[in-house]
Order: sequence, then C-alpha cells, then structure tokens
Amino acid sequence: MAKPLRIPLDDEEERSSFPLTEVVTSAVETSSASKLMLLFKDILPMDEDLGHLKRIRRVDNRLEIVLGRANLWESAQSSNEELLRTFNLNPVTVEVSSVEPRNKEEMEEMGQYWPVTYKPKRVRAPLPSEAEYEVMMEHARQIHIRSSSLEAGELCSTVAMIVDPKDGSIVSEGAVDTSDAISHAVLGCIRNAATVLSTRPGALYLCTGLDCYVVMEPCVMCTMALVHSRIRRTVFSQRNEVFGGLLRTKIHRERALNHRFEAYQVDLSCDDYRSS
Amino acid sequence: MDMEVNWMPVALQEGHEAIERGEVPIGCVYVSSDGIELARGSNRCNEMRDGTRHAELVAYEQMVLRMGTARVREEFSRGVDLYVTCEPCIMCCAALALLKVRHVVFGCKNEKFGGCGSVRAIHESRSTRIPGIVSVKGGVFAEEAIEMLQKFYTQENLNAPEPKKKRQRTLHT
Repeated sequence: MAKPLRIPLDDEEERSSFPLTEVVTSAVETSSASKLMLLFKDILPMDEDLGHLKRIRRVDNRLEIVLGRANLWESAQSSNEELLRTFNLNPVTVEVSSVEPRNKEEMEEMGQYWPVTYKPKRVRAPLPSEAEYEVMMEHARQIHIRSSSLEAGELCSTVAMIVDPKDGSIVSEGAVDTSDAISHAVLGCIRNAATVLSTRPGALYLCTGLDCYVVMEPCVMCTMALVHSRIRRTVFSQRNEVFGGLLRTKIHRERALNHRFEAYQVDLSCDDYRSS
Repeated sequence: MDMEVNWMPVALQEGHEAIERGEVPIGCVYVSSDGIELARGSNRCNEMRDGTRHAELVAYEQMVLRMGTARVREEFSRGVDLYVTCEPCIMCCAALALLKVRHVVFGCKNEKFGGCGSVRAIHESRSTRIPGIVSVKGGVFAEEAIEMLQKFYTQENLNAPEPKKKRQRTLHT
C-alpha cells in the first residue's frame, strides 16, 4: 500500500548546497566592537534576508564586522561617509550564505564562510502511525467510491466528507452543485457539519479536531473555508491544477493565519478500489 | 464615486445590525450593472456556528434564494459589483473571483485574513488562473468601518472558546 504523502513546505525540500552572496566586511578594533555593533544597527541595518548572519566574527585575535551587502555598499557608504571615516574601516568583500541554515550541519558548513545562527523551527506534528494510515486510506477509498457517479470537477472536489477521527464516524457529507459557481462540495460539507454539530450537546467549536476527505485538492476558497472551520487534517488524491489551495498556494500552512492544518495526498492508483 | 457614496453606507448599515446580533460587524451589498441592489448581508458565523458564514457568502446565498441560480448567473454575466465594509478574506476573495464579480470596493483592511493583499492577493495571483474580479479598491469609508469593528471588539465574544475577560479594552475615539 502506498503511504500518503504529506504536502511538504518549501523549507523541507531537499537541498545539497546553499546559495552564496557577497557582503562587505571590515576588521575592527576589539575595544570599539561593541560600540560599533550598536551604532551599525541604526546606520547600517542588516538586510532582513541576511538576518541569519552574525554581525561580528573572531578570526584569531581580530574581530571582523559585516558592513552590508556588497552591491549596496557604495550607496550606504556615501550616505554615512564622514561617520565611517572616523572608524578606520578597511572594507573587504567576502562570500556568505544567503539563506538561513535548516539544521546544525548546515550551520557548521555555512560557518566556514561566515558564522550564522540556527533557530530550530517548531516541532511538527508526528507522522501518523501505521494503523492511522490504514484508517486514512479507508476513508480516502470511501470518498472515491462516492465520487464515481459524478463527473470529475475542474475547479474543486465534487464530493467531500468530514470525519471524526476519534471513532471514524462520518459527521457530514457534501457534493458540488454545478448550477452555482461557488456551491462546492467542501463548503456544503462544512455547512452540513455545522447543522449536525449544533444539535449535539457540548458541541465542538466549529470543526476542531475533525478531518476532511476529498477526491481533488480543495480550491483556494474551500481551503480557506477549512482554515476558518479549524479542521485538523485534509486528505485528497488528485492534484487541483487550476485553483488548488494546498500544493502550490499552501494556504493551510500560512503562518499569518490563526489556524493551520495538516494535508496529505494519497495515491490510490495501485489500489483495487476501482474494481470494488 | 457616486456609487461608493450611495452603496457603502448600506453595507455599513448591515454591519451595524450585525453588532446587535453579537456578530463581527462586517456588512456588504451586491449591486447590478444597472445600479440596482441585488442583495445585502452581514456576518452570521456565531448564529450558524459556521466560520464560513461571512457577509459576502450570506448575501450571495440570499440572492440565490430570492432570484434563483439562472437569474443570478445572468446578472453576474452582465456585471455585478460588491461593496463591503472590510477587505474580503482569502475564502471570500476566491469566491468573488469564481463568481466573476466585476468591481470589489471595500472599507478597511483585513490584516488577519485579507485576500486582497493583506495576507494573500488572490485576485492577482499568478498561481491561480481564475480570470475573475476586474478591479479591487480599498479604503472607502474605512474610518467608519474600523470604528464599527472597534465598537464590537470592546464587547466580548461569548462564542469563542474559553472567553477571556477584556478588562483592559476601552474604546478610543
């Protein structure tokens, strides 16, 4: 059985090397280094994209300080010429990593050019267990069977199903209404879930903790509807080439939003669900 | 310009009514190419326990119920404009693109969920090939829209999980 594929983030994709860029640096007096650091924060602020670089490095008994990007140095220098002259700077161009490290190994490799800081990202949710995968595939097959009577959608999944992973029960279902441009299956499924859940005592806040199963990757509208609904996880098998909200646009992982959810793409092609 | 002065107050009026119902005050109105109101609406997320019941979708649904899908489609093919007090969220902006709304005019920005530039810019994204929305204009009656939202947020949202007391919050006008 093919394992579901978690939609990776950009920063999780493999990389064997890292890009370099040029910055201008200068040796400075040890005694004036800390004063310079403070001053440079204001007059030569580091590029936000170079926030991973340490401002100062020690080489033997000397200190060297980053002045700024090489291609911007001319203009930065001319606007602060008098001030900079007082520090006896001796600008030298060096290569540094232009991206932040993803792990300690990269931090060390990058440090051979210029020291960088490594900030570990938040720990992600653990991958589901074998048993959980089985259940996930079972629901994915179920939604596929439901979709077989409908024509394949172009803009979004034609069917959707919201499941409570605690007991595997189906909370609600939805199907596309092609007479209307926005009556998508996922949106309908969320509506139906709201109706069902509001009658239950001690109701959940929206779809907290629930999973959504679709055939096609939900469109941008439906992906955001799932974010608004606090869905836990979305599972699909078919890529949405036109208006997908997960694979390319990654709205489910947008850090600016107040909720994020897991997304999995399952491969049912080697499965026997078609014959069932 | 005249259209904005005519229609944004209608959207604001809808928003104010939402406050009375304990909803986040965002209101909107759809207007046909002949300048006739097609539908108006405001948030119903709390009432329906559905986080997708935003003003734009609520009003659209009203329109479909009243006019039927065939007539609604006809209106949209001729050109429908939307006046909404707050920048549509990512979901609503995508919906407006799917509906091919002609002009979207909004009041204040939506820094938390905005789909017209604040968080994402759905209407001009190259990765989405929906040739929807023709134009988007923000900042129309923005102060009034913000004032309305401030009025609401100084109250408490009783539907949010584990409500916290908002002792610190006072309305600055």
